[in-house]
Amino acid sequence: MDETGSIDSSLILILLGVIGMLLLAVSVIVFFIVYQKRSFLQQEEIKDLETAYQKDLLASSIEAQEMERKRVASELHDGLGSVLSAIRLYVLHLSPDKPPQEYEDLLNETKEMVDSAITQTREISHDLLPTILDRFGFIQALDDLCKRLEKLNDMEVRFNYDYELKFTKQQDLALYRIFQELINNTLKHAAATKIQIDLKTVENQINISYQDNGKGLTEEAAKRLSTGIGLKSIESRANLINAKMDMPIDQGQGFQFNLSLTP
Amino acid sequence: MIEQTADIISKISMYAVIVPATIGFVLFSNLGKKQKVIFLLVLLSVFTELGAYIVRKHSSLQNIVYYGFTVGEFLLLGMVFSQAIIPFLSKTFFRLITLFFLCFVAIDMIWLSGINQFNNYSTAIEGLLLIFFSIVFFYKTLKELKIRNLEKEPLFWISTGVLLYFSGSLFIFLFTNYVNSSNTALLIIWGIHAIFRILLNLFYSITLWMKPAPSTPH
Repeated sequence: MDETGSIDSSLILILLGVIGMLLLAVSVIVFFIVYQKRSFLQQEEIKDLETAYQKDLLASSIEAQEMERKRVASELHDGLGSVLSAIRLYVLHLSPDKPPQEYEDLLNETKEMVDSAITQTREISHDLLPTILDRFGFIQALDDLCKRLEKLNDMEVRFNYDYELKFTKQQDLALYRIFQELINNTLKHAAATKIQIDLKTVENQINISYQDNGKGLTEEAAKRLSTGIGLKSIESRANLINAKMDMPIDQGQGFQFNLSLTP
Repeated sequence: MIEQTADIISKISMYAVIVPATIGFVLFSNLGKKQKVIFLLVLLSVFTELGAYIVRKHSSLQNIVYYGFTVGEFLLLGMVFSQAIIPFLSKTFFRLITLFFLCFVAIDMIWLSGINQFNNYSTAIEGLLLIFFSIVFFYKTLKELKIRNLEKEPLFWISTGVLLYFSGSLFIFLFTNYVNSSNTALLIIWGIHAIFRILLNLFYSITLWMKPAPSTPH
């Protein structure tokens, strides 16, 4: 019997099976190796992006802090400083040798300027950290801000909230700053006449929505905004309190901002 | 010519186990836990080859030796895989699989293949289970992404060796009994099996040779 003749059909079937299984095994191994390497590359890319994002947030946060310092410095220098300088000048002119009427006028004006200095100090201090925020928390502070906003600007501001809600001190401050920034943006850029803020709890989750009836957020504006310090500052504060934020692109109904967090 | 080549390959396969055994002896003090189990498996292979050679004139005794090897191989490789796969697969699952396999080997020994034939069914089931374990290991590795340098992970080489050897040999174990056997056909089949065995020993050698890298934290 020659060698070819001895190879029967069962042998061929077995050989085909062996080759098939072997190819399958090799494919699994090759797929595994390639996929594993690719997954690690992707993971590294994501990590790099995250690091870049965190750096960006940090830089924006530092920049925002610097801007705030400049603002406070300018308010102190141009406002309170100049009032205090004027008070000093008036005090220097206050002399018992002056005629009584002039002396009286000078004293009254000095008193008014001291009052103005006290008011300005209070305003600066309030801007830095509202007393109401420290004493009663975010909801009361935001309510107060909304009421003041309605008084000072020709704007309808609605804030609907649940009295039962309590936040940590860190959440109070972060949330207040976020909404302060949003209101600032509306006042500066939106040309809006109405702001609506709703604070609701859904299954141990707090959802806060902010909506104005202004120009809204177009895709172009969203791109511009994403590189701005204001939004970075909002993102950084939201990250700090593990809140999720969302800003839908405008559908012709003004600017909208949603935030959700666990108390 | 084919008979001669197949015979030479079979002999090489028989002696190929000396390579990982030597590496294991020399590097024993540096071996990790999994590597030590593989070294034990290699020693089991050596003793099985020796035992089978000693009782070569009594085919039933030789088959009993092979039954023993199949059980030992499954338990040792199962131990290595279980260390890596638990808790991805539960401990109970491993225990049940082991129990099932031991029962199946007993059934194969008594009723299916018996001791007068090579334990084809037990080896095929062992192969299927170990192929499953190695695929689960690959899947778990991809899911967790903890192992950065695959080439420094002993279980990668073990899994690759096991997957290639048992996938290649599965059809041989399952259908050899149905070959209308001319001696040449069987020699070719077992020659191919011997090549896979050499390959498996090569992977065991790499496993024992390497210095495992610590896992990369996620």
